[in-house]
Amino acid sequence: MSEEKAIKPTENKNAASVKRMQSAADASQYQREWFKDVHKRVSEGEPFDFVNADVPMEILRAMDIPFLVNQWWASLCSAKQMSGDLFGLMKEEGYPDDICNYCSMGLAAALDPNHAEAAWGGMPKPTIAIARYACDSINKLFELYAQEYGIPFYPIENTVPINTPDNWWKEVHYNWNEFFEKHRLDFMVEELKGLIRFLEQTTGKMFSETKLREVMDLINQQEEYYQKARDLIAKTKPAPVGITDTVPSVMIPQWQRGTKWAVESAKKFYEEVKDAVDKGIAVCPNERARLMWIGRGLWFNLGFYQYFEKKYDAAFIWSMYLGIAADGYLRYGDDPLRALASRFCGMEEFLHMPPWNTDWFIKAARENDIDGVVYLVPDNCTNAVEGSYFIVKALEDAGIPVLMLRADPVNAKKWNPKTMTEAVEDFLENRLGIEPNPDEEE
Amino acid sequence: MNHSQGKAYEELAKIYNEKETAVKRWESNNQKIIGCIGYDVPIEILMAAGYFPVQITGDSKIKTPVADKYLEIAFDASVRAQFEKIVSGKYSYLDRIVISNSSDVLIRLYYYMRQMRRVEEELLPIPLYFFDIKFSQFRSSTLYNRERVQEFIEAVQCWTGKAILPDAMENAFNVCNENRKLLKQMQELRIADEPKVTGTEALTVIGASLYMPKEEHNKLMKKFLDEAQSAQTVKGTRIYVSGTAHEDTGFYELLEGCGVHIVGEDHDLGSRLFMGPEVSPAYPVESVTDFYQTRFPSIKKSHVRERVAAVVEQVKNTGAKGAIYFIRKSDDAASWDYPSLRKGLEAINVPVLLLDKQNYNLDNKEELQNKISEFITSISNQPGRE
Ligand code: SF4
Ligand code: SF4
Repeated sequence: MSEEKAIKPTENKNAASVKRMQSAADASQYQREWFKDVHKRVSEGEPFDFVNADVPMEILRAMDIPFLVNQWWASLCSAKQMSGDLFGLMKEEGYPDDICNYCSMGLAAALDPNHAEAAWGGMPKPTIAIARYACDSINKLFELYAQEYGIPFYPIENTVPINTPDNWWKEVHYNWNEFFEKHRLDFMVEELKGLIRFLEQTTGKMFSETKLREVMDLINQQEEYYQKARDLIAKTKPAPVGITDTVPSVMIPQWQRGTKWAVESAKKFYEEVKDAVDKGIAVCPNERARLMWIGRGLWFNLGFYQYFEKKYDAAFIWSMYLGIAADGYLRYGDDPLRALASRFCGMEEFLHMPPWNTDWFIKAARENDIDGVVYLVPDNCTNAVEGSYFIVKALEDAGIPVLMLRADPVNAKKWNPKTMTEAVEDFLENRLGIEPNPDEEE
Repeated sequence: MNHSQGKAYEELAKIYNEKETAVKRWESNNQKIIGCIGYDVPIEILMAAGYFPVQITGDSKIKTPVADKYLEIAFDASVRAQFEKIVSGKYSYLDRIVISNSSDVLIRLYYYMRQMRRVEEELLPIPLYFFDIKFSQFRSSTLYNRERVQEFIEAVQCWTGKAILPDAMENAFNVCNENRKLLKQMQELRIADEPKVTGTEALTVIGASLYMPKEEHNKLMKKFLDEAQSAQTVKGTRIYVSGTAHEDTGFYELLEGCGVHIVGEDHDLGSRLFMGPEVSPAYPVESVTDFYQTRFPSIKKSHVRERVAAVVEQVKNTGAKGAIYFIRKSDDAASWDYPSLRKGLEAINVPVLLLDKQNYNLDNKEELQNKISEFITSISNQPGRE
């Protein structure tokens, strides 16, 4: 559940000095308007769903039911520096305040909705909560959340893949029906049918197959732009944009996928990348290293990445956010509900589990002509573990050097942008042999 | 607490203490052995196919250098220890390992071990099987589970190259039913007005069943139940233990040292192991599914509401005066249940002591003792059975 998992704002002199792409700025703007509209619709009595990131929200989109994604809400609260207060509430109630912080922000806010008002007017009162049994905690968190609001909780089951076919990124767009194990797709489709009937029954809105198909088509159009942008970045040297540009542009439209706006946003993003290529704009005009970032991004500390661009001409050009948008979402075919089921059958494994993630990282590293990988290992969420040993081994065996950054489990204070920066500097200088730019040396 | 039992108990305790090495005693049976990870592997089916299923458990006393290398910090210490024991060859006699979907970390463990077999097979030569059971209380999950049970039967037949005959199925089911029945009888002795079995003894007796053929366990159990009738009555404040599973008797002994009589628990190495409906050989797939899906809610996989209701009911049955909620570090899911569980128990006048974020090796015994003693004193004036 960590798609948007981000580190809390830190005090770093380098932070937030980033020029952002117009598509990113537009997305932020849109998101505000959209949230206002959600408030308005809810106040007029419309249903409103609170869902976890891995719930097939396309169903809600097709039914025109407004919804809020748990992890997006959490990122908003973190950005507003409200998490401390919210976790104080958790503690008062006897809940832990030091585990699953990102995923439990919704529950924390539910304990005192007034407290959460600072974040864009707070969370409107939901009418249903939906999550998948993706880890041992999330269903409990959603159940408790629903209980606080006195609304129903609808859990969706999750299955475990047994087969490990190769090259998933080549297979899942068209060949998904054969690629995923039949019993898993069948079960997921049943689960979705149950959800649809439940929503129809409780909201009085009828589900439209036609609308779902339209939503799926719009998503394909959107993700095709991401594919094109990804390909452009991969083959252009020096790279036109880095992950500090791409991630903010991609993340919000991904939450809004299935809308015409999201397609437009993706198109604009692609055009901006193309424009940069055409004009010869580059992250590092003297690019000396092309880097890949694996793991949770430091999106509140974008200056962290820029520091290495300046000091070493080292550009972070790949992260899973644009990568998975380009490779993970596309689904072509005639049965939109089954296609949707297949989108959610493999996403976690593709991102988080070897061999899927390791194969994919190697493919991406080769495509982008990556010189080195910086890998931030997730610390305390069992669900988001990625097989760190296997990732490092696979990449190193393929000749791609990896720096593994492990959060210090005992002493969080020891783990800060400074130690992280030093580790990356050491990696660049001693593993990749890159000298700092003379004028940038302290 | 000094409490003694007869010869059968001594036998069971020996097996419990030897754990995986005890298995060697039945070498002459010439049975292939299957290691189970997670407590939701349908052992009835393995037994029907002629296998000897044994449970893989952790060990808080071992170092885990290999686990440290391959697994993540976020993995529960017991799971790390299980992994360590496997890769260090402690279970080299296993024909295969079956892992059930009993918790999130076990799913990851399966993925990691599978990947290990792909890239460094020499470290893990034992083949794996994953049993993807669902615990949600829905018909759709039952249908999914039945298919998985059917698939499991087919896989097991494929391993042995032989069909499981109805007689063998019937026999295995009867043995398992009897085993659970005998363990339930033991539980009755534990919660009786004049209890004859302590918590440590119960944990030992239940645990022993995981490292020996069930037929043998049944035999010893019968003797044990007989002998226990004449054991002295157990004294102490009646306490229910909830939370993380205890793989050895350390915590129970500590509690008993504080004047506690542990009347029950909801973890997999205690009462949860035998609480559930009978399995019926007439409907093997259906009844195995029902047993594993609908028995006492699992700590990791149940909804808060389900678990609270079940524990409150148990606590009432056992006549406990208080409850201790023990959560080991990294056993996060259990902690979300705590506020509701506490409310549920307080509503029936049963106070709860929370022991949170405990280390695997219980290296803070003194601190625990103090907390527990204080708690016991505070509830000693409560009404209820002694
Ligand atoms: S797939 Fe991974 S990153 Fe995405 S929501 Fe699930 S856990 Fe988070
Ligand atoms: S275990 Fe991970 S995915 Fe699950 S609720 Fe906690 S932080 Fe979220």
